[in-house]
Amino acid sequence: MSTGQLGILNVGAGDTKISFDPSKPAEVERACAVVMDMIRRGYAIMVQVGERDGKPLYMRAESFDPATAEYIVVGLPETNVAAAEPKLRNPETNEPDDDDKAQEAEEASPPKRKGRGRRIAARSTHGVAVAPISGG
Amino acid sequence: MASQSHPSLGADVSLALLERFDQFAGLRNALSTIGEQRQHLAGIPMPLQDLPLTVHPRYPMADALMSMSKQSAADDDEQDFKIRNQFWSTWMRTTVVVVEHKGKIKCVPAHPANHVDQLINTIGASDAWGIQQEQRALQLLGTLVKHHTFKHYLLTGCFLETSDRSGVTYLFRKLRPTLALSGRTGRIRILAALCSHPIAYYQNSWGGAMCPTDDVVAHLMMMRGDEHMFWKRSNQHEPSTPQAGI
Repeated sequence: MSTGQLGILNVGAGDTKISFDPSKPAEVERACAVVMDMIRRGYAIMVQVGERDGKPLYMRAESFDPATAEYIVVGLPETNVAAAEPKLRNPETNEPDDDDKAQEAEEASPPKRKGRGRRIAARSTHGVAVAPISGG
Repeated sequence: MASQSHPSLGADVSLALLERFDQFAGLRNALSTIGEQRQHLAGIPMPLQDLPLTVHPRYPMADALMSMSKQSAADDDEQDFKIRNQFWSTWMRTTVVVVEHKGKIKCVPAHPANHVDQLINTIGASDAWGIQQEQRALQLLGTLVKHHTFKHYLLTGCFLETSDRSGVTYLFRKLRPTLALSGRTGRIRILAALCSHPIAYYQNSWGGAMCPTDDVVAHLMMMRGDEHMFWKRSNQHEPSTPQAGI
């Protein structure tokens, strides 16, 4: 696969690109800093996470790990299927079991979901970053 | 080596020649340079006279950029109008506002009055965009869609794509809101006209701060990557209103 690239939509340049070429560590380090900065500023980073029926499948990166240069994507179809499994309930109280309660609590707190995201290596995928959007 | 340097030199000369005919090229390039220096990764939107700019509140210098084009709006405020009511006129295809001015009641069409106003304003907004930027955006779009889809866009200014998640079909249009379509009942129904622009847009026009195809790329990628957010962030215009651009 070719080197991973991220296109950034830009007012003055049309679009600019940053690349994650493993043979250029300094460039990768700079690219990681740029991606972290974009996430902090509210950019939406759409990365290709695979293919479905021959069509590229994109997801929004929720976070980025600069140490490993990986996008963290939450809510891939596999995750949704697992989350849709029925929960066991205590037959006496009709309340969820303790394990399920803990799981429900975990699901209810959005920050913790980031840890369960799938990691996509930036060096092997393409994406597009879109600046914060205002409704027109 | 000479054969490698010639095309580059030729491109530079062509670009310089192109920019000689574009009176806004200097300002656009200057804003681009300042944006790079200040690490504004998406650049700086260009304020235009008579076209108020609405900038995303989180974007750097949003207030300063918006205040540069607010002069005409301030003038309007000085005139002592009081809005009494408003209604939709099918004949005029616009919202008519009933206003009280110096004790008299008047009916005036809301701005923009109709498609023509919106179109003329969009032509005005085109001063902000460069041909080079649009060409780069087209190249990017060409890498994101299939050949026949790209051909549809080049020849008609729009293309269709159906979301695997929701089953909704989207009609992405150049300089118009994206139409969300449903064909579940056997005939095509417009669910909404979704209007949004990265960073900023020019009020009462269909133009955003970015060149037209960059707006289309943004809509396409938002739909593909996070359809829920695309709907949430977009203004949903009624298909019958001028803003929907139908």
